[in-house]
Amino acid sequence: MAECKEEGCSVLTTGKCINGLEIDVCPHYSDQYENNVDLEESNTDNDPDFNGEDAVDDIAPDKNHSEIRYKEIHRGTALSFDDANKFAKSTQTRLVILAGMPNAGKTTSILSLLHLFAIKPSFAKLIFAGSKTLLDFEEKSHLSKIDSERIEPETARTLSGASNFMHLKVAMKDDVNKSTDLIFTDISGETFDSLKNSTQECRNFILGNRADHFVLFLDSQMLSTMSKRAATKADGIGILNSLIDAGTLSPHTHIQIVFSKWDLFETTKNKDNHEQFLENIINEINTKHSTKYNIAFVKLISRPKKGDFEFGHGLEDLVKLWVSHSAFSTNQSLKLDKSKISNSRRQFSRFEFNNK
Amino acid sequence: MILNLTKSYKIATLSGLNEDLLSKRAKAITTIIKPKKIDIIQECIRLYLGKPNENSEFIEEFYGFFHKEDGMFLREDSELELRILSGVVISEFIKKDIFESIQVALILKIASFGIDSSTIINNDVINEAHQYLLDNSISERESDVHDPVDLKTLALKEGDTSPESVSANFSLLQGFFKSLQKSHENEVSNLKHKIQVLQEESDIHWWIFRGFNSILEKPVGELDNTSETVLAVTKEFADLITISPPPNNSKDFLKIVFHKTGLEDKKISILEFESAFKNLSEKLNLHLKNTYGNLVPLYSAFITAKEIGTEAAWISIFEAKTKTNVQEKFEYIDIAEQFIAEYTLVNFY
Repeated sequence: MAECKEEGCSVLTTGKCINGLEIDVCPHYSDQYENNVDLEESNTDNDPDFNGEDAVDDIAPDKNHSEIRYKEIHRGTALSFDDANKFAKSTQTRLVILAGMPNAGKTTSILSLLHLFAIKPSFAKLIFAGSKTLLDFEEKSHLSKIDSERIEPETARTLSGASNFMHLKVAMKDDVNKSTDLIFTDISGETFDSLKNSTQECRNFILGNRADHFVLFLDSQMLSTMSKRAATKADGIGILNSLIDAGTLSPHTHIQIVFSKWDLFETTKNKDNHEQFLENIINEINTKHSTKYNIAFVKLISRPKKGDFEFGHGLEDLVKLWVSHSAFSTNQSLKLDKSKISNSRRQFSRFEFNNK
Repeated sequence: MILNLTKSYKIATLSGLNEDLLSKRAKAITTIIKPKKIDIIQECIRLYLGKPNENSEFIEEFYGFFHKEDGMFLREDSELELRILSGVVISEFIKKDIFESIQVALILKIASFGIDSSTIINNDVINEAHQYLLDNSISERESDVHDPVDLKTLALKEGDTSPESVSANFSLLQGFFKSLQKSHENEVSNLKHKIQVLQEESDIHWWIFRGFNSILEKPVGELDNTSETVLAVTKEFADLITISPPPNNSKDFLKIVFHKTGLEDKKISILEFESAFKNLSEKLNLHLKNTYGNLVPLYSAFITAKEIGTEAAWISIFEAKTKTNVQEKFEYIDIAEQFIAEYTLVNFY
């Protein structure tokens, strides 16, 4: 039988806790009657072993008390590999690898996403639900703000070295209890440059095994420059092919090919010519990998410089993919082997209702 | 070796998987499932599905098993890891294919009803439980034929009446009759089971053929398109099931009956089903015993509503206990199948 020991609480009749707590966290609520010893009525005077100090010791410590006192909070800087690994053990996370050559717009895309959450009540039907690396985001986005006293917004190049991670938690606008923790890699373009040339390096890239999403950034400005587009294509696709050939990227990883700085592509001369080139890239990737991998192509404008484009164009499509797909979210419908049914000797077990 | 441990663990780590770590986890899992304690497995199911544990100390105790094998396994920030491990424990217990495995598979199938699928980690565990129940529901209803012991195989020494020969022959005969007795007992048990299977089939067929619902006291064709109809028809069908797990095609048999009532497109919530139960409680003759707590959502709704009384209150308590939304609509046939599963679990185990 359920009961609530809090005086005046009518949760059993109204469903509402007098302290505004959920019943699974309220310390006074119980759905089983317990024989609790009332310490005031315990006959300690007759207890030969009793002394005043023991009574204090015998009182069970408030279990929540120490948890409330000491709570480790991350300082807000980028997560190290160990921090991110630890976080991944505590809650379901989506690992999003942002890959591409230097200056392709990897970090800028995430900073723009944060900015959209900051200026809009919701974005892509999602709301901002927290971040462990807010300080890192602020530091990275400083060069894009007026306070930096720059003429044009910029993003600092990610330094080579140990992998760091950025964290963003988003929740559904219509149901804030449904949230998703996204962990973005903060890996320099130089690292990917070396990956595409070495199978061993690709095999050592263990993050690839775990990735929910692999986002390959191709600089559209470079793709729309005759002298640079071939090399840009080779570099970008080289990263993808190397990781797949090395067995690092498994079929469970969702791949997004992002054509970043799309505003610069759209406003270039000889656009038709470059569009055909782009089409060839898409066909090449699809031909080689689409049977095994789930691949999406997105045109992204994180921070428009030319043309009349909205800030963060394309980010909505990306973030929706990141939130809705996980490497481990299997098709939730059951996949049952029904051969035993068809092989059964009994018609009873083989019966199926077909209303035709 | 626990094959799905590697796959299951991937979601909880960014780094590669350490063979030594997996080995320690596997050892702990083997320790947990060895005593075949159902209450521990039930708590694992609660942890795996994200439902509140009945034993408030369970998570610490569960962690303790793994910490014993791996002193480096820290309790802090290990919630996801423990959930994953609880799923592996359940999966391994079912794979043991012992008597209790069907019960555990049934509990898992029942308890996952109404749970938000996006919160389930490693859905393979639930898929395995469904597969196990499907396979067993068929094999339980198919009996093997045992060959009787062949008397001709006895190598009795005939003609020789020496004490040694007589003693040897006597021992042979003794062994033979023991085997014969065992074979006979097995055969009797087999035949009893076979009769039970045929009786169950026959009852179900005649129930369909009869086309009358004794609870609502109406021909099936005259039943209304309501939640009460679903409950009354399903309860009658559930009473005919004498072997666990329930027939794999229970839904198909029910559809024959429901087809006559025009229920094809109906969706029912747990709240509506509970209301139907309240309206029919006297006629249903349903004993509300529940030793599975929040693992059986429909029974839990019936009992909580009866205990608490006020709708707002029981709904609040129920949803917190079971992590299930009472307002969520289900296909009528799915909620019927769920009731059959819960009814079987509560009455058979």
